[in-house]
Amino acid sequence: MNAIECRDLTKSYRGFTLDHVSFTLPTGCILGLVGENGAGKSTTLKLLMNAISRDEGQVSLLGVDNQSPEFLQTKQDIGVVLDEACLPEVITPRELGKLMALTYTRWDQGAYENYLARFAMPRDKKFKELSRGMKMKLAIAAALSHNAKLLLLDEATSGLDPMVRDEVLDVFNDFTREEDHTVVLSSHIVSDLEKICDYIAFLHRGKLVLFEEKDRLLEEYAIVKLSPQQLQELDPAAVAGVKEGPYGAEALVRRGRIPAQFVTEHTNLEDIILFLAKGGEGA
Amino acid sequence: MKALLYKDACVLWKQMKFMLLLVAIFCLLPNGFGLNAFFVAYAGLMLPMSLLAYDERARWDSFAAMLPYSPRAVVVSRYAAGWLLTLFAGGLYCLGVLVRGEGLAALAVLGWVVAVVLVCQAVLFPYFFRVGVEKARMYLIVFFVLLLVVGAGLAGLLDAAVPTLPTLLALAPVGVVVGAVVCLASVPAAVGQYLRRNW
Repeated sequence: MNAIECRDLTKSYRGFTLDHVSFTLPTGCILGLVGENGAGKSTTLKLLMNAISRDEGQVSLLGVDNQSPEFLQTKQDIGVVLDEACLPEVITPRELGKLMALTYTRWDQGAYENYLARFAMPRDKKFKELSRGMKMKLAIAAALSHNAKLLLLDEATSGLDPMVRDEVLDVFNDFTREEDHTVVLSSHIVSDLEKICDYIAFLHRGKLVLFEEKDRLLEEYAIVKLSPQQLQELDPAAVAGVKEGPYGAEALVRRGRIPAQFVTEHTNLEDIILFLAKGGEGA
Repeated sequence: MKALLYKDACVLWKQMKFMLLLVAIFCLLPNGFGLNAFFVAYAGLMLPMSLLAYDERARWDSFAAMLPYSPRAVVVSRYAAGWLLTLFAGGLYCLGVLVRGEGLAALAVLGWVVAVVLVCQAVLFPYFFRVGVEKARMYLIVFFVLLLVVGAGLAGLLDAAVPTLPTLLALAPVGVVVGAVVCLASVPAAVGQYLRRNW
């Protein structure tokens, strides 16, 4: 079964359009949703949960249409963490446990207590008094304590120091040890996504520029350093993006489409994203 | 909906304890300049608005839309908070009337205030759900000025008709029932506005 099926998802605001986004994510995978600020990552996640009205498109999560009446029940299987955590300022972790127990039918207080202990979370401190890292950990503890099958995480690692980020990524990795557990993690910290994701979706100015398996992406693309003349000779279909400097050019190319004499360098996800964003063309 | 009311109770108790205390004191104190009635209106209108504003500031509403709460539960819980707060202040007002041994006229005033509060909830809540309370605040002044003009107009008409105290007393429960019906009837409209929101 697919965890997410999204077809032609479209939403227009003044000055921004999320434009016919389509992708399918198999169950058991981690999807990294990457894009610059304002690319449409949060809008996509809100639309997936039907939290805002859409203009066009169809979405099903865990096999259920997100506009059907049954979707309310499906939401019980979905854990959500938003950037800034979005909890009432005065609520304490203890009270959040009670609130979530009244919200989720399969709330697991024991699991929640374990996460609070793992994160060394003070039980009676108000949410507004917690550090950014602690706020995110609290939201993650709540999202993981109701036996969710799908986690939607919007910038859950942004603004965290590297140690906390690593700890949080470990938690997500643990979550996906169950084969029917799926994670969607939106972030503009590409290195985090490279560490844990199976699939990468790149949103740029409201368009889905690429949706690909991460390993395939890293195999498919390479960097080559060229003179301006060599660049002219390359098949345009082989070039995904170019950075030109005074002494030559650096190009992101598809390995299979360039002549063998070119020396290619291994690339990483961040380079691929940057080249594609600047090149403005799809994979 | 229990979860949403629990969240509201936490926020009310921790963030608006002082306001609740103020409402309690003024509803119980001897009636001077109509302050008791004003605080019933304050509890029924301004406190639910403050709850919405706190939710908006924390972006709880965005998060709540992702949780397994139906749109109806989100909307009804907000109305329920308004009704419970009106009931709380109204109950204290009645207690004050009883303790002070005031006449039925004081109860008629309460009835009419509650009726107005319910009608205001019916008009304002759907709008809050559509645009959010922060944006809606800008138009609230216009709303309250209109309310004053309409109120003054009605008072003029009533003066002309010279209603007697027994008439006002007899009509107060009718006012409350009409207010309650109008308020209940606005719930589906508020759900519709909530579903169309873009914030």
